[in-house]
Amino acid sequence: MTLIVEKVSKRFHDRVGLTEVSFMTGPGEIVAVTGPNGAGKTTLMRVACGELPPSEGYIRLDGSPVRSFRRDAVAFTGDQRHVFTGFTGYDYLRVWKLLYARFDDALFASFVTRFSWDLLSRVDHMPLGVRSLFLTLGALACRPQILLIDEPFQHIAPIERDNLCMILRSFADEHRSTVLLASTELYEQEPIIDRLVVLKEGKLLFSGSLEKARQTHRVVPYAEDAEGLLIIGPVLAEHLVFGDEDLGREPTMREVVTGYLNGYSD
Amino acid sequence: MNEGTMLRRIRAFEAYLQIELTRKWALALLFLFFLLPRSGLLFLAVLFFAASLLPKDVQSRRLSLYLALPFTRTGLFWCSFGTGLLLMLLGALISGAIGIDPDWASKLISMLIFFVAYFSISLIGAVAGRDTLTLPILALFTEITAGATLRVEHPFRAFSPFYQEDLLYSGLVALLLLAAAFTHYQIVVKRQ
Repeated sequence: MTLIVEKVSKRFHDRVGLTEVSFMTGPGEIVAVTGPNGAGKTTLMRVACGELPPSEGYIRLDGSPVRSFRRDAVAFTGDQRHVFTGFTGYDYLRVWKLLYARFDDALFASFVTRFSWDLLSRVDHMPLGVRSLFLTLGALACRPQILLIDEPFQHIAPIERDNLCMILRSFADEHRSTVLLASTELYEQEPIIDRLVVLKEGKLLFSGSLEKARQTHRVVPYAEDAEGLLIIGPVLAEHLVFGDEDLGREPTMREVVTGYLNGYSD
Repeated sequence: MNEGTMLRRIRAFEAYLQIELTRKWALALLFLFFLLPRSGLLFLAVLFFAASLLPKDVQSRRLSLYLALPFTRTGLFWCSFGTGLLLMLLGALISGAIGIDPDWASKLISMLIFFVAYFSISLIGAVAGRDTLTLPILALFTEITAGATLRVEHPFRAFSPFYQEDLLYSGLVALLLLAAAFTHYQIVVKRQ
């Protein structure tokens, strides 16, 4: 499924959440939406799942506006991991099965076994890491065509982060579903990321394929070395520049992100 | 509406009902009051019941929990309203079946009019940032005191969702309040 975000702006009473953000993702891609706190990541996720209507612009899934699109094609896990008070794992399971026609029982059962969840216990009493994993993998078992996860790895132990990465990768590959992950920090997960979206103060600084970003940017020790190239911004003691000249070295995802966030100009 | 859409809506309503009855024990307890004959206590129970539905979720800013699932704002409004109607209907039917209130059909119509009006008033208050009970209690107090001081044939009592001297007029007032609450809810909650 193709997700198209076209000139999306979102204004609240007293602040601007997003300003003319545009990007596109393809089926089977894992997209990292990153930026500092207040960049608009959560707002973008809430608009993309149809929870908030955009003030301007539109979001389309395979050509249909997201609001008129079947909502069960999209699953969203919010950053606060708020849950319905008193709900047990079974209660959530029942609700997911009712709301998502493509809910995958076998897949969910495999997660229950793998992570030893007790479905009789209250989800709001689960440790945060377990709750986070439960909600994320529950959303994944709904077999959405677009899976949106805000702060996917927060509170999750390192070994389970690796497991989650593998599960997300195989989910995107097998079902050709698009996965959007929003976080201030996703550098550990670089191997599974296909596309990068960098936001700051509600504005889009960069969007594109991560592989292409690595090929079209270089990290050079001195800005003077990059004469004639577009200097994006400082990365620690070095500089990120735009261009595929045989200069310096290929940047990591972290360097692409920090280069744009520290950018010299808009 | 095609069959698939209809089925999705029914399943969404079923899921909503399940969420509400699991989350809100008060709803289940208040439901017992519907077994009572038509009385002042029953009106008060309906008022609390109406306020504990969507207005409570708007006030406590819990809508995002539902909206993270495949519910729309409009869908939530109608699911919540439908939950209220369904529970009241069940209460009245049980009340009639076990012989507590042989006049359950007229009680049901009367309570539905009151429910529609006070669900709307509570929602208008919650959307405006107030709590869910102040505005409905003020409205009920105003209705009771104003009605008590007026003549029985005064039009106010015909239109009043509490006195309901004329079911048609009081029903129309309730529906107008519902339309106002729906519009207010759509405009304000979308802006948040």
